[in-house]
Amino acid sequence: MRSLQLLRVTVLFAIAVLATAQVAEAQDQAVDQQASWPVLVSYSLPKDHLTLHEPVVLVFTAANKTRYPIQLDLGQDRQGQFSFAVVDPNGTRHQLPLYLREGLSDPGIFSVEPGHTYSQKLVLNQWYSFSVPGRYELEGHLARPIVIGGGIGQQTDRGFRFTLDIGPRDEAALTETCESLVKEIEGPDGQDAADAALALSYVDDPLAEPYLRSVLFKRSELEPVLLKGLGRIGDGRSVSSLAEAAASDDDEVKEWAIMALYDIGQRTNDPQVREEINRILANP
Amino acid sequence: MPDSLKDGGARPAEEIALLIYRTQIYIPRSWYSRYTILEIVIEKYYSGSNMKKNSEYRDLFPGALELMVLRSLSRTPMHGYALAQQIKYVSDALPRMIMEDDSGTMHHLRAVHGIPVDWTQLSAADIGNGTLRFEYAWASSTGPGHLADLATCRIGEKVSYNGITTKKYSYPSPPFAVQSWPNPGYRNMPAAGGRGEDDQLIKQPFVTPYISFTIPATQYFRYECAGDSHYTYLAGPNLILKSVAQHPDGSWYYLVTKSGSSATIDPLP
Repeated sequence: MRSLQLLRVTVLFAIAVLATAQVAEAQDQAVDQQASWPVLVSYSLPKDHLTLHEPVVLVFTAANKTRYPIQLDLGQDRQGQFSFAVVDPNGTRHQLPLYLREGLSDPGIFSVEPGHTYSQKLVLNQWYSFSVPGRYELEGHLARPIVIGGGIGQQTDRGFRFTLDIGPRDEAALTETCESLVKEIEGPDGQDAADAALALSYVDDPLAEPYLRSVLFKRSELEPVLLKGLGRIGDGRSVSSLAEAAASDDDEVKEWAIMALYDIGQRTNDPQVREEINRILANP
Repeated sequence: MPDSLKDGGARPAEEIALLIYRTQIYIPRSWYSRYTILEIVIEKYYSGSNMKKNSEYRDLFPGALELMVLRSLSRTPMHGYALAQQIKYVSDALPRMIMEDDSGTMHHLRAVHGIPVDWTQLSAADIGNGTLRFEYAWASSTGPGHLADLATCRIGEKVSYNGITTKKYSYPSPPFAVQSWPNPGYRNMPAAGGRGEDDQLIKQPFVTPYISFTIPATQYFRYECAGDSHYTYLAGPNLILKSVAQHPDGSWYYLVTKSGSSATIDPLP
């Protein structure tokens, strides 16, 4: 009797061991299958309904589900290889030129290790102004293929197509957006701050001027982009902030402040502002 | 959990705070209490309570693992395995730290900083549409593979239009499209990537009636570290010439040259 029970226990134990081994093998296969997945590229609009003059932000994500490192070539300043097209509210399609600027820049080629995800924000106002309310169709893709494992494979980005509704100008919404961006600029994460500064600089509305001014000298690396934002707004209130920046010891800050002042001086109809700018530029 | 973390003996709070301060890493106070997850990771990497047994992070500094754990958790809650993966990922990107002996008993931590050196032109090419592209590379003075030591440095260019004294230079139009550039102009970027591209562009369309004209500019490459706006020159001067000229057969072309390389649009429309 006892030997029969022992036999049963032994058989049950053997079954359990086999079952465990099979489960482990199945898990291994699942892991292996997952390891051979391609790169998951996705795009998203954090807000698909905006009001006029709010920045249009697109999030690009590439998740490396392969078992190899992948190489992304995002182009100049990690933006130069994104190809975008916009259908405006009148139904006209605009194929937008690739981002390209003069001078020294980050080549935008880098690796993402297996299992890791790369993500970045793109402020689409750099490519298109979205200057009227209405419904827009957005299309885009990464123009360069993603190289897998140093060249053993390639993957082409299929891109995205979104609808974006831009409502009439809304001061409350603009204020909320500006306040939120200022919080990010003042926050601890340098990349979040840089993304927020770029977005704030494209709030092409006089309402943004005090927000730009409030964070202008908070982070030295963000000063050029914020100065460009002040220059884009270009009202008289921007001049005092720009004058302060034009006296900076940092050559790059001084350059952007002066260029912004030049631009405002050419656009303004206010003789006092023009005179003030001429005085600053005569001896910055 | 290692005793040193329980009682704070070998890694006092002041030292962690110093690390956080010097590496400019922000860690919300709420994450400091996640010792359950700390235990998982520390047990995994330290194989017991003696932190000196750690092999993977031996070349870092005391407290490095704790710092990376806290830094990782400051972004999002993670389970042990994900956290371990994240730590492995970020450890390459953290600035290296060295021990600095002070009065024989106290050890202070000091980040290793380098400066950009070995500026090298990798390539030059006409990439079409009148754009001349150069690829450059540089290294850290702290040695090969230590580009992260340039974390506090920016590298950039200074371009001046020769013989022009105004702060804003407008290209003559015709033959060039209407455009203005700061004079001198500056572009800076983070140095830790170790690579940069310099694109010499031309805004189009060109404006008729064409006339022969050459715009000369001088370019220097330079860097600054620690945000002190004190620039050191790495390379230059490079003479950049952007010209519109006429062939003997009467057709017009655009040519940009720099460092013995060129790009062209020939003929102009």
